Amino acid sequence: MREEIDTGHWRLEARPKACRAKGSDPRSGWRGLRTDARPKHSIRWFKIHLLTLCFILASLGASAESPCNPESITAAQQSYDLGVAILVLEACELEAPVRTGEAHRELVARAALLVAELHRIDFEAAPKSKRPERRALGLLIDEAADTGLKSLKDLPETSERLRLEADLLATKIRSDYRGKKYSKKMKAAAARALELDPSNARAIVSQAKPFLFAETRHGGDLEEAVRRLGEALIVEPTLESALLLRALAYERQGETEASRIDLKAALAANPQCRPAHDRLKDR
Amino acid sequence: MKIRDLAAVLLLVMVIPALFFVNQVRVDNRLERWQGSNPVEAQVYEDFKKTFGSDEFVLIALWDGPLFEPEALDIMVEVAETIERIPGIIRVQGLPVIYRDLFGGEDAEALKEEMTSTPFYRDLFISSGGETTAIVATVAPPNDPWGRRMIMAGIREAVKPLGAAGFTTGLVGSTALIDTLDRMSETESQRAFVVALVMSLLALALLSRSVRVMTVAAACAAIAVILTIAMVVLTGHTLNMITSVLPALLWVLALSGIIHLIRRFRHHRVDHGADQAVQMALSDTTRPMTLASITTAAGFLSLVAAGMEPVRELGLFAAVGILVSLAVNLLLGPFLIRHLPVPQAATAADPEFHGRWLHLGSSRPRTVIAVALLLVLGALAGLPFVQVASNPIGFLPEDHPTSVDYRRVAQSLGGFYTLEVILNLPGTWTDPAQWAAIDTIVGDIGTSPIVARVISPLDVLRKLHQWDEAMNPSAYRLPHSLIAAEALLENLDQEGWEMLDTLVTGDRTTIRLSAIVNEMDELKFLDLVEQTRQALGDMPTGFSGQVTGQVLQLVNAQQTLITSQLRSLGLALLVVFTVIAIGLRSVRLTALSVLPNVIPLLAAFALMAVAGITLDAATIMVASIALGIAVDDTVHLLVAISREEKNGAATDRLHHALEHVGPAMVLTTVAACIGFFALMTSAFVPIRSFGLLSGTAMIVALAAGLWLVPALLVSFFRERGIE
Repeated sequence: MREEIDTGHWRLEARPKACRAKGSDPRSGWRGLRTDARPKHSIRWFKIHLLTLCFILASLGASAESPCNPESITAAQQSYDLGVAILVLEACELEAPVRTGEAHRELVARAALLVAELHRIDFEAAPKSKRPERRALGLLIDEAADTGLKSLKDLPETSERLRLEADLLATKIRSDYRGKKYSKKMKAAAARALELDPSNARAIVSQAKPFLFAETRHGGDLEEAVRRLGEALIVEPTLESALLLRALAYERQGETEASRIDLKAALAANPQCRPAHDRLKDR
Repeated sequence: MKIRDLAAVLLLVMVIPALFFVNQVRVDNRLERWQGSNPVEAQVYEDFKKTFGSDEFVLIALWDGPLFEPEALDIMVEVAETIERIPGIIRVQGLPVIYRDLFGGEDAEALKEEMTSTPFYRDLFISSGGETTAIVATVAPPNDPWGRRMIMAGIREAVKPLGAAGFTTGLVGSTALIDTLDRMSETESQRAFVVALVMSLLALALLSRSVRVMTVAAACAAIAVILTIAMVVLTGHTLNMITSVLPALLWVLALSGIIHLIRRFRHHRVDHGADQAVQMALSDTTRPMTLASITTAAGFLSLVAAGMEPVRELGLFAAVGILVSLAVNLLLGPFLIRHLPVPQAATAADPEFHGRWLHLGSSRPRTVIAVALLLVLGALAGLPFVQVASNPIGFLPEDHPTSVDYRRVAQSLGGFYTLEVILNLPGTWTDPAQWAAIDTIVGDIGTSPIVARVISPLDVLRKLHQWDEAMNPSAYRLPHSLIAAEALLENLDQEGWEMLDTLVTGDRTTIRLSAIVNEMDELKFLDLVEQTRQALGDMPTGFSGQVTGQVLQLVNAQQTLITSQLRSLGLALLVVFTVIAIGLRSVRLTALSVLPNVIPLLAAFALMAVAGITLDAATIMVASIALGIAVDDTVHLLVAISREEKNGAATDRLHHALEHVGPAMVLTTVAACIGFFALMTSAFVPIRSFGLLSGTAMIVALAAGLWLVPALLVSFFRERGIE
């Protein structure tokens, strides 16, 4: 049983766990990407990804180095380029046997979180009626999130590690069932991250997520979400994720003007911010 | 003569608009029409529906397919969503809905764990072995005869993709059953009527050896049927499972009347002109035909006292139809006889009816009476073996898809309908102090072998507790306190509250327990009702409850129907014999007519006991029909005897009367019997039983008329003379 999805960049294939290992690409290390997969738009998109990657590497002045580094991840994050994010994660996973340090493992988790979150954007955009597509995307999200969580396992407790764990768990919460299964753990990780470092703006954003996404009966509270995201923005005024989420919270509250201001601020912080572009375009 | 002709032409003209109305006739087998008239229980059920909503549902069972494969689940979700859009469906529950709403269309393995690890869904949405599932669509059909049919048509269309995905589907539940019965009674009654009509006409043509005789008889009977059915439509009524036999029934009764007239005409035509022969035939038959029609109509009219609307309608329209047929036979019959024209008989007397067998009653009266008494005793002995029960599934052939589905669902899933219990509590239902008593009664009801499980609001609380504990199956238990229970309820979403509203009242002190039943046998169901009432009576102080539900309403109606029908039959017998007494103006002849008229009834009951045919809404009608038919023969014979000249020996007068009306009696019976027995070709069991019992009753009625009446006359009236 195979499920192919079109992410807009790569044709990805999700397979059941039992057969996924067999079909995995031993060279890439990224099990969701078929070795025989061809870009939907043929070589053109592949070239674009390569060019982006080269650009990132060149800009870093380290074209000979591995793409598994914080700068590559940040660049992929800013460009919302899933293909690049996957390549970075693959590179990080390939290097895992030799780079066993805590910093590298955290890097793997960051790359995995980025892949999971970018897949999640596609997941949310897919119509609910397209169940096979959403399910395939869900498998990819889980796979990336599990890679990240596995990499974080047994690392010493730090605010950022716990924040990453909370965000990785958050990507896995896509249904009531998963909310019941993961939300307590996710909230606990976010709370602990803030305990360890109350000024961790990303951890504040993580903690605000349940207030924004959960239904009221499960503790959803838009006002609280806005308040906490505001706190994160006090700590880090250009934090893109906080601006985007607060824009969403305002939108849900019916405050379109406030939402628009935050979207514009997100765009100012990152001109490549795809969600902000899309939402402003929709309006 | 001119006025009669004018009336005949008028009747013919009326047929044209009547045909238009006949074309508009509709079948309405809505469940509501079959419910009884017990006002107290009806009110309890109405209150139940107002409080908890409809308890009517369609259960779509899925077998043989891969239940937990994501692709299969996707198809199930699409099917469930299509069903949700059907007007009249208020809620769809089951595996695909849980997969969609709780699991977001992912995690099929976890779904399997959720469905099978606790008893919450077991025997409701999934079988104990986890290989069969059910989609349950709660139905609130519009108040319209087509409501359920449209819903079922929509569901049948919606489930088609499941077949393509490798599933075998089955549709059960009261909506599905009534729809099947509705469609089957409609098609089968139409088909069986045509078969009966053709067969009886062929028999008539063969026996009378005249196409014209057949044409006149068929025309009169058909016009009577058309006018009556047009009246059904004009008065805003519809046909149903019971009244769908009306055309066949009226056909037979109308034929009976006109055949007597034709026979007398052909007899007189040998020695007289056509007009005079018609006058003489009318003179001979008007009184017995009128008397016979009035007695039969009175017999049917007694059904108006029945509790069930369809039976009342049958009684009313059968009575009206018989009177219409009398008018048609007396007005249009002579007109057609003269204008076709009907040929005279070969001789003034039918030699084939002069055999010794015709006079068996007068030649061997003691033997005939002894046989009749033996038959009566045998029938009386068989009466206790007649089962007063009904299983609507039994109306369908064994191999009918709905029957097969019901059997399979009973074996694999929980059941197909519910017994509802309204339980009043001394406090709020979330209070742990109430839980032991609730669980006790749930357990008591659950011990019945026909109950698959009992759904209680406490099940919801257990499930919520499990979900709150990260869905750990071992946490499927009640919370430890009232506060914990209330906290769990706060987690319910809108749909969850809507579902809870179907189990608990707003003030939280009354709850609903639904026992899922997998047996259609009425008696076993009534045992369960009794067991439940007893369990409710044994509850601690402060607790009280009532038993209700749609199926209970129907079963009660059925039970009431039998008793009210038997009362109606008694009333009919009284009315019929009173009319005979007035018509014949003779107490002795009336007394004599009792036994020949009761024997066909008893024969029908005896046959039911022997053949294992149960007494239900359909078969109970046969008693009235048998009475009506038997009375016809007796009345014609007794009137013929009383019309004979006072001179001559009593036996000669008897023989003479028998020779006059005997052939018509035989002809009528044979034609009608062939028509009734042709109904046995129907796949719909009530129509089949109706044909068998009515045909048998006709044969016995003929035998009683030809042999028992003369035997009684010879034995008891010879010395005092026949009036």
